[in-house]
Amino acid sequence: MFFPFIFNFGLVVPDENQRQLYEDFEREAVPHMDALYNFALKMTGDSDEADDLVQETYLKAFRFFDKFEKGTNCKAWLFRIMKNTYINKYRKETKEPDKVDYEDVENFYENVKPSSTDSAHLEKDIYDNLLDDELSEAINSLPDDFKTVVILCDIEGFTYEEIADFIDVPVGTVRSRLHRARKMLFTKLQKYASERGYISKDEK
Amino acid sequence: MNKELITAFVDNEIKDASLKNEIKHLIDTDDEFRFEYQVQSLVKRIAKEKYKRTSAPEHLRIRILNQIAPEQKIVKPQKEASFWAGLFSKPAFSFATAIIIVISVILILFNRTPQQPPVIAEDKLTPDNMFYQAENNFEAIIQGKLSPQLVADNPDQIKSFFESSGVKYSTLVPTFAEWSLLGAVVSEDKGEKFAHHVYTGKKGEIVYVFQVDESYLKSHDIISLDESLLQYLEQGNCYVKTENDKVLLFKKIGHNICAVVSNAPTQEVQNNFCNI
Repeated sequence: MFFPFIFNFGLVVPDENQRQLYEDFEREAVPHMDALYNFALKMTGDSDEADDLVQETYLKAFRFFDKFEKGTNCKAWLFRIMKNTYINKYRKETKEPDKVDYEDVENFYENVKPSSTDSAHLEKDIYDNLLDDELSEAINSLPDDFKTVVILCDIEGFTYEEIADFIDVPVGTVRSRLHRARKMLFTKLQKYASERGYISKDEK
Repeated sequence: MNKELITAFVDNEIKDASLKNEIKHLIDTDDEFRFEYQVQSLVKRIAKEKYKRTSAPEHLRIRILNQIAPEQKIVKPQKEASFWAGLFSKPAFSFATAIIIVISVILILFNRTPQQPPVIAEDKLTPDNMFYQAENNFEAIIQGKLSPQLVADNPDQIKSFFESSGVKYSTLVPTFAEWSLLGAVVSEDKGEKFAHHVYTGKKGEIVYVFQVDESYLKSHDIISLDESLLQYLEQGNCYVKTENDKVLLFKKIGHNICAVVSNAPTQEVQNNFCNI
């Protein structure tokens, strides 16, 4: 071979691996942008910071996309990167966890027991009439710890293990928070349904 | 049994088959467990179906995609590439072919007319490109999707509007015999403000002007322009391109790079803007 290395630098040969990597990233990671942005907004509480957080997350993710294990949960991987980015850069002060009195939650819910709840109140049709905004508002009004697990589990479809990894708590805590969060949501939804006349106030 | 296991059951997190059966049995036979199951599964379903995510804004999506693609210098596969690569891979041809190419390139470079307008590959323009934005904004104006934020025919009023709206560079709003000023728009990207103004002619023709201080185009952070076009304008040239009854013109005026898009006669646009 005659000096092929001298001229190789001048060849514009597409790097097939890089092109493939970009296409894979576009297909696997980019569709989760709404989910990440939605959660970033919850974490930062500010649209500009959410923009920056998601942007930085995607740039990092792309840089390390060749390390992403194909076939595993790409959304969970992106959320992990976003959490680390958030902790390292955006959370300048350690946020005091919401003071939630778990006993209060439990006690409140105890008033809504099978004996005091008409079985008709458990029909999904009643709640189908509620507006999407009302449901979103009910979730957003939950204390942060509860809101996080509901969004990650019920909206984003993460497993308990993925959620535990994301929020740095044992799997048992994830289960417990979800259990309570749904109880709280149920009471909120019942209230909305009652206000809109889907459930009789007397029956509640 | 801990009622939280019902939650895990609803979420399909119970892996142990016998525990699963035990929970199923409790749901079937115990009112409290059944109620717990109904509440947990009802709320889970409603939340999944009705929760409205806040979508990522379009500008963020575009910004991310634009930043990712150039970072990896994505080059779309070209048919010629395999030919050249094949040619170089053959030892018998590699040296001779390379020498011919190098000489050809040198000859082309030496014979090139420096004032030749650059060819802009419009299909490869990205949304942060001024060329792309100017054409899109003009189309939006024509289709009535972009209206002036300020309706004014006084150039000083328009310049004051630019300044008070946060445009950080000095702007130029010339007046012309053929067209009268219609109004102005200030756009925002990454916190920076950009000046746009529009003229209208007696026959209803529209002349749209988008001006950007050249420093923005050189830093590429927010808005970009092809390097070859920028150099061409730096040399004092006027870039004119016509297509489908529309003329697109670029001219550097003072420190500003001005993009003009219009459906007025090309000669008229050219005479007015290239001679400023």
